[in-house]
Amino acid sequence: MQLAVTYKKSRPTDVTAHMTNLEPIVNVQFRYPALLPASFSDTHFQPEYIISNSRIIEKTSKQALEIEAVKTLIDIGSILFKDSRRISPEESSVMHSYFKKKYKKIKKAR
Amino acid sequence: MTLEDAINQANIILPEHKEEFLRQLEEFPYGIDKWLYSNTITDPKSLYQGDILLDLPTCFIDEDGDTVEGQDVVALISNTCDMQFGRKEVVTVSPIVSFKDLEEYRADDIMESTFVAIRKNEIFNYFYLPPKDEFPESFIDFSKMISINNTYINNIKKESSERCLLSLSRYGFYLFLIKLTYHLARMEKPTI
Repeated sequence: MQLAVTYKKSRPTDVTAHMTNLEPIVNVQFRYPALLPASFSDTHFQPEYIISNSRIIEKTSKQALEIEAVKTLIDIGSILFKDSRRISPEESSVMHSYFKKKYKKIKKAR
Repeated sequence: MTLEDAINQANIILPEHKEEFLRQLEEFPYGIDKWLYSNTITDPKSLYQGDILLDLPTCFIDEDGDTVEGQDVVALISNTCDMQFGRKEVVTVSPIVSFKDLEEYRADDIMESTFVAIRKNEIFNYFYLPPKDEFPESFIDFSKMISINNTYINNIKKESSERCLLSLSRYGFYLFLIKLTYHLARMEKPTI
């Protein structure tokens, strides 16, 4: 089986995935530098795009790299900070008192 | 996924830093006092993300809609590029709270267990800062962020450099960025 993903350059959000048998893929448009039909093998497909929020984004684009950067930082954080928690209501109350004493309130004229 | 896998996949960590960063994290959450800070300010002329500055004006809006203002030690949260003179109009900072100042509000054992959790970086919105020289044991409060004019803060850097206390080391910066991103963008666990 082969998997082909096609879309028109003018409408990159419209994607059609074709699962085919061993017949050649015809009438398919690929945006450079996507693989040519002859490069597809039966069992191996290397996508050059990521899908984020239902949008196809070229894998080497700045946007894809930024999405990937945030994702990897969160992955590391989820390991390092796996035991983390929110502050408790009591702790929140202490912090509130701290800032209330340290800072000065400026009342608006109403 | 292991920590090693996650770090190796992180394109934001330079390849030549990954092995050493992983080594520094072996004792995490302990041991960051040895490597969090740089020995000197990163740059005498430019502001860097994670830099710690003294006595900046800060303010919030309270529950009555009134402004609450003060002067505080702050950490620079904005991206380094955005903070350079003439770039973005404002710089984002977060206040830093010292353990000593907070101890005034100890409520039985609450604060002791809180301090333990903060030291281990176990509270989502607090980034632990170990003591260094005159700088006391503290934490950055990411839940409070304030905008300060870029020109004003760059002038402080230029004219009152003694108010620029500390910079993070390269590994300290990575840890800071991970914690900040995790605080802002983590997936919340579903409540039962």
